[in-house]
Order: sequence, then structure tokens, then C-alpha cells
Amino acid sequence: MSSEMAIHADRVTVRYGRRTAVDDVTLSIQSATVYALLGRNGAGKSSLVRAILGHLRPDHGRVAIFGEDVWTRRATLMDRVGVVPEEADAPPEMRVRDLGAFNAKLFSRWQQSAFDERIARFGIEPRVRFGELSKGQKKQVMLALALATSPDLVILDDPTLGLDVVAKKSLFEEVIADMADRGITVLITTHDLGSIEAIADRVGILRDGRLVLDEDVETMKERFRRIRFAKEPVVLDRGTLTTANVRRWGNGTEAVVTNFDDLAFERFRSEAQLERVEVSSMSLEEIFIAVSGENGVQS
Amino acid sequence: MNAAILIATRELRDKTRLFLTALALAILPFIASVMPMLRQKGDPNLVVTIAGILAFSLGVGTSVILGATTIGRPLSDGRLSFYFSKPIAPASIWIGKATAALIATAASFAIVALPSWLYARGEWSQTWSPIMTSTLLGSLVVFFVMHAASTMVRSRSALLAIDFLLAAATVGAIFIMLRPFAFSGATRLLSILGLILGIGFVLVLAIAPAFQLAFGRTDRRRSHAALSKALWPGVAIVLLAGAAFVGWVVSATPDDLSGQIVVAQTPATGWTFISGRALHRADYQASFLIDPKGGIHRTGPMWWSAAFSRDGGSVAWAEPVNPLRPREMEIYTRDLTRDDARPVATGIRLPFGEFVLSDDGRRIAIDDGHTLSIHDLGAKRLLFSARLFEVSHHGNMFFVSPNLVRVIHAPWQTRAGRDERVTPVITEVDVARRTVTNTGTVEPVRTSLCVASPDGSRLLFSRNGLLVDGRTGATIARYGDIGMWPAILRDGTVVVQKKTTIAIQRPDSAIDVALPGKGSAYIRGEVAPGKIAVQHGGSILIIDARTGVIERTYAHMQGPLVTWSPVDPRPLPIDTGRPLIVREGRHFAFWNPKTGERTPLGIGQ
Repeated sequence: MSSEMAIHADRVTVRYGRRTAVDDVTLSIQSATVYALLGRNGAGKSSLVRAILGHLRPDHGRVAIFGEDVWTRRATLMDRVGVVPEEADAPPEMRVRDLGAFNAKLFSRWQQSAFDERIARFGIEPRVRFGELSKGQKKQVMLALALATSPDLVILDDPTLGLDVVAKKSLFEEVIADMADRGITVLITTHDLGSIEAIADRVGILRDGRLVLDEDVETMKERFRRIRFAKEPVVLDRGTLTTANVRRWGNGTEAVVTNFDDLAFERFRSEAQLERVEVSSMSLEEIFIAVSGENGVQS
Repeated sequence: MNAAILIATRELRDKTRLFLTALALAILPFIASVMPMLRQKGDPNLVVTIAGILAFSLGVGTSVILGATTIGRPLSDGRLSFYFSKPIAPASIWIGKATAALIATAASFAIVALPSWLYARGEWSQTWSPIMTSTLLGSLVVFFVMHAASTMVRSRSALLAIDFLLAAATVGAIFIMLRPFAFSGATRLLSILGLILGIGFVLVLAIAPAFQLAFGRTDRRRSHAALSKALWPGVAIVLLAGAAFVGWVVSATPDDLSGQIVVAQTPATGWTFISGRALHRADYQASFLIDPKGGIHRTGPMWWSAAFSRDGGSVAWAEPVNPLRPREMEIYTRDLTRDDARPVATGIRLPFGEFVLSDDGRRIAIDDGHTLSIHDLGAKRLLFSARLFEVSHHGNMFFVSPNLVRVIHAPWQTRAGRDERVTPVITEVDVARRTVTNTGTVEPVRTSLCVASPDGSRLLFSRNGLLVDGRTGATIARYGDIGMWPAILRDGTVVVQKKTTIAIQRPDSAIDVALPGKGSAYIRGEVAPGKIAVQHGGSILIIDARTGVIERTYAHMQGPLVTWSPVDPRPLPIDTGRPLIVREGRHFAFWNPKTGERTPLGIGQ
């Protein structure tokens, strides 16, 4: 395992009784990158995040953060990790300022001023009890707490849940982008694919607990294409192009190609004597739907 | 540890409402005591009573609620990750949270109790102080138990069934452990065992959650599994420690007995019963049945005394039926003619009382304090029952024949003590004719031991020196002031102690044998034709009854201990050639009176 790795999950399996939530997942996240872990509800994202944080012992496999086993070294490692959980987990009776004071005594690199500034910017009153905040405000407090620890790694489990549009935009464009600029490793799970597409360096897609895609965003977008044939349905796969999600589209066919290559496609097009063909690149959201939709295929 | 203190402080801050509630409750007794309907305004006793009840209720209630919620609620709400996402060790989380909960419990209790304690200290110490100490300790246990139960129930895991089975097994194991002590009424041992188990279980319950958080962390089911994996082996270790203690106590041998020891031996077959307090084992009463080869058979749960049949073929004893009602007994018997025989429960219940077997061991007569009843042991049938005694009494009884029981009874001394005279009455109960007949009355005697001739035809009251007819009570002879343990031999010779001599009263002559020192002499009987064994001054003397010569002295030896029945006054011949039970120092042994050879017990185990 490289010391460059912020996170390395090695063949991690998590089961709840007979149900397998995470199935033999191997995952590496380089330091100073933004990694988006995507998946539909129940795909196993939160279970994998819990295993990565050492909150839950995998039934099989192990996880390392900065090269150290997270299960045995969690307490030490958490000093370098900021966490924004899916469900805000701070005690509801605690006041916002007390949460800051509590963290200040636990984290060696705590920045009180950063916490105070961020809370002020979010417009949250420090005297308010955590339980009295709105869902979005709770997320903002958790974010402020996570970032004030001066972390080397930030794990954001669906951080936009409950945030309004402005707050979402601020989170992606200011906060996460800022962290990326400062060389902080970010692992984020989110359903807001449009926003993360511009920031994420790498994407992993979980489906039914299995990591079906783990790739740099640019590389992935290069190889995924949507091809629409105007007339008769066409059998696309001639050994050179791999298709996913072939379906009827009007009188013709729409196919998603997972290994698009200009040269190979031109050769196929001339061999098949196709005239009206439309090739378009795909957004992260479209790729996600193609990969993790009901008929999605492994890329 | 800093993290634990930090967590404890934080958790305590959340308990403000609890402390405010306690404050309100603390004032309540004073308000109640000045209510208009009360006659004595400000009655300290009333204030203390109300405050005590409120403090008790709040203390226990708080420990129940905090035990169930301190870890359980954040675990099931998914909020335990708040701590696990921080550089805090799992043990610190548990120590911090548990400390805060226990401080909150004690503090809420103290807030309610303190004002009334300051107001009326005297009433507090009289009424509540002992209860409150138990309440605080109990709250500690309740907190840990509730935490474990809450974790198990909240997990909604199938493991709960296993926990339930193990909990039931634990209760069963505790019951089995307590049983021998409870049955023998060993209250001190029960306390010691309770303390061992209690401290052990509290330690396990306090430590296991640290493992729960270390290995189960934020997942409910994994948390439950981790708790169970730590809890039950811990409980097993505590149970093993308790079992080892119980095992050590009940492993006492006859040589471990000290103080007052009950020994009974039937010279007919040589079987022996020994019972007494075991050394270094608090108030444990150990009982043993020794076979003629010296083999020791531990008996249990408890034999207070045993009665052999005159033929030595069977033995009967009483065992407590229920540890919660130790005075309720059931009669058990054992066939002594077979080595592999097992004790048989007769189904005959009695409160504390006396019983005697018929000569062949087939019938039993039971005196329960008021009624004499005669049962057939084989048929397990009550043959006859009669209310004989209107007042508490002491006495002797024996089967003259299988159908006839003779009872010699006199009321207990109640006022004047041992020198007040009582009038023993001789009564015969005839099972076949279903009659009760008073056959005679003895002249008034001081409380004493009654011994009979081997055939029961004559009775001798010790201390009084009065020899009477065994059926009519008519006086036959007076020997004056004699010792406590006389004997009538088979040929009618009466042997008594008179101050410093042993007087051998033959029908035609009398010999006085000077004892070698002062002290009581216990005339044990004939160990060989014409040879009397007398225990005196820690030694056994063998005296020739014809010449009055002390032929042999066995120093540092007590015995032979052949009181074969606690209530049958008829001695059994002990010159059967069978070994007789004696004690040398702390050690029991079988003794051959002819050769003086001693064989330690345990050979035939």
C-alpha cells in the first residue's frame, strides 16, 4: 500500500445478517483528490463509509487510512479526519458553541476561529441547541465542526441532504473546491451528480454492494458515449465497442458505449453502412444512470 | 482519561432537568408537612418518610432510565458515531457516559434526601440510612443490568434468544450453588457467596460494555454480539469462582469438623453418621455417612441427625424440602445392606421433630412436637396418629414391637431451670389396637438424660440416680447424685459416675473404681464381655467390670461414639467385634477395642 493513499479498502465485505451491504469492495483513494462515491439508495455507500471510518468492523477485508489500519488505530487517525455524517449525530441538547468547545479539547489541530467564522457565515446562533436547528443547519454545523479540525481527510456522507440550493452551491463551489485546492483529500457520497461532476477527480459507483466502476472522471467521460441510430435497430457489438443499455429510440436505437473510440467507431460505421448516426458525450448523471440503473451493466 | 472526564462533564450538563426535578422533590416533603389537614405541622417523621420515598423512587427510577438509554438510545438512533468520529477510545466513551449516569443517579438521590436529612438527622438514621445504602448500591446494579438488557432488546437480534437461555442458565446455576447453604441454614455462607457473586457480576457488567463499544461500536447488532461475547464468559468465570467456593466448602471431610459434632454409629452393622460445623467454612454444617469399611459418603443437602434401625439395616434422616422454608423437612431412608443403595424420599413431611425407626427399619414413629404418628415406610402409609403432647416436651421413644411404641415424655423446663423437677409420663401407642395408654408415671425428677436397659425394661434417669420400671415407672433403686452419662449393661449391671469414681452396681455386689482425674465420665458400654469403655478426661479407659481394674488407657481419644439413635434410650451391644468410631484430636478413625488398632476413615471411598 502506498503512503500516498489516503484511503485503501481491501476486499471489504459488510453483512447485516443474511443481507450483504458491501460485497468484496477494493478501493484506493489518493491523497489530495476528491473522490465521489456514488450509488442508489441502499447500494451500500453508508456501510462502506462506516467501515472506512472504523465505526463498523467489516465481516471481511480491512481498511487503512494514511496507511494505518482504521479498526485498530481509529482513535489516533480521527485526529486527522473530519466527518460530516449522513444523519447529523451531535447530541440534541448541546448548544452549537458547546459542540465547538467539546471538539476543541479533543482535536490537536482545532481552529476555533475557523469554526466561529463558518458558523457566523451560515447565520447560525451559537447559543442555539443543536436539536433546535433545521436539518440543513445541522449539516452546516457538522461541516463547520469537521473543517475546523484542520483535517487531512474529510469524509462527507451525503452532505447536501437538507441544504437549500444556495447552500448546496456554496458547499460544492466554495467549500469542497477550497479543500481540493488546499490538498485535503475528500471522500464524498452524494446524489447531486451535477454539482460533483465539476469537482471530483475520481468516481466510484456502487451497485448492490459491489463497486462496479472506479475511475478518473475525465477518463470515464472519454470512454462513455451515447449513440443513436435513426432507422433500424442495429447490432452494435462487433468485438470493438462494448454497449450498455441498448434500447429503442423512436424508430431507431439508442445505445451507451462504454469504450468509445473514434477510429473503431468510424470503421464500424462504414462496415455497417450507417448514414444517420448521432454520437454524443454523456454527463456524470447519465453515466451513473446507465451504470447503476435497473438495466445497468458493469463497465 | 481526559476524554472520559470530558464526556462525563458533557453528559452531566444534559441532566439539568433531572437535577431541577430533584430540587422540586426535595421541597415537596416540607410543603406536605405543613398542609392544613395535618395535626402535627412540620412533623420531622413525616418529612423524612416522604423524602425517603421520593429519594428512593427517584434514585431507582433514574438508574433504570439512564441504564436503558445512556448507550442504548444513541446506539439505536445512530448518534453514537458522534463520539466514534473523534479521537476518543471506546473505553473512554463508556467510562465517561457511565460515570455521568451514576453521578446523576447519586446526585438526584442526594438532592432529594439532603434537606430532610439536615432537618431531621435522627429520624433519617433510624428509618432510612440502611435502606438508602442498599438503594445506592442497588441503583448501581440496576444501571448496569438495564444497560445490558437495553442493548440486547434494542438490537432486535436472534442473539436475544441465546441471551435469554444463558440468563436462565445463570439463574439456575446460582440456585444450585445457593442450595446447599440455604438448605443447611448457613446464612453467613449465603452472605459470603452472595458477595462473591454480586461483586463478580457487577464487575463483569461494568467491564463488558467497554468491550461492547470497542468491538461493536456504532452497529446495534455487532454491539449486542460484542456485549454478549464479553458478558457471558465473564459471568461464567464468576459462576466458576462461586462454584469453586461452594465446592471447597462442601468438600469438607469429617476431619475438618469442629465444635459441636453429632456422631451416631450402629454397632449392628458399623455404619456411622457424622455431622457438624466445618473448620474455616463459616456456618456450614457438613454431614457424612461412613460405611463399615471406612468409606466416606457425603450427604446433602443437610442431615440434622440420623436414626439407625436397631438391626443396623437402614437409616432415616430428615432433609429440608424448600430452602425458603428450612424448617419443613422430609424423611429420607437408605438401605444399608447394599453399598449401591440410593437415598429414598418417603414423602413423609414434618416440621422440626424427632423420629425413631422400628427395629427392622420398616416403620417410623415421628414426634412433631404435639402429635405422634406412625408410618409404614414400605407402603408409604400413615398407620396411626395421636395427639399426645399439649405442651412442649422432651422425651424418648422406641418400638417395643412393630405395633407398639413406648414414649417417655416430660414437659420442658421453662422457669426454674435445670433444677426444677418434672414428672415423666410413660405412654404406649398401640398401632394394631389403635389405642393410646399411659402406662405409668415416674416420680418427679430433675431434667436429665434417660437411658434404658438394652431390652427397655428399665429406665435410669441420670443426675437423679433413679432406676425405674420401663413400663410402669415404678422406682426400683436410687443411686443418689450421679453423673450425666450412666449405662445399664445387658446383665442388668448399672454403671454410674459418682464424683471421682465409677460405681459398678451389680445385682449382688458393687465396686467403686477411682478415676485417674477430675471431670465427667461418659460410660459407653461393654466393648467385650465384662469390659467397660469409659471416656474420661480426653482418654478412653477400659475397665474390668468384675475386678474394677483399669486395664488399658487410650490417651487423646474420644469415643467410642455409638449413639445410634437420638431418641431411642436402649443401648446396643458394642461388643460385636465391629470397629467403633472414635476421634483422636481432629481425626476420626475406626477403633478395634480388643486390639486398640485404629484405621483412619476414607479407606473404602
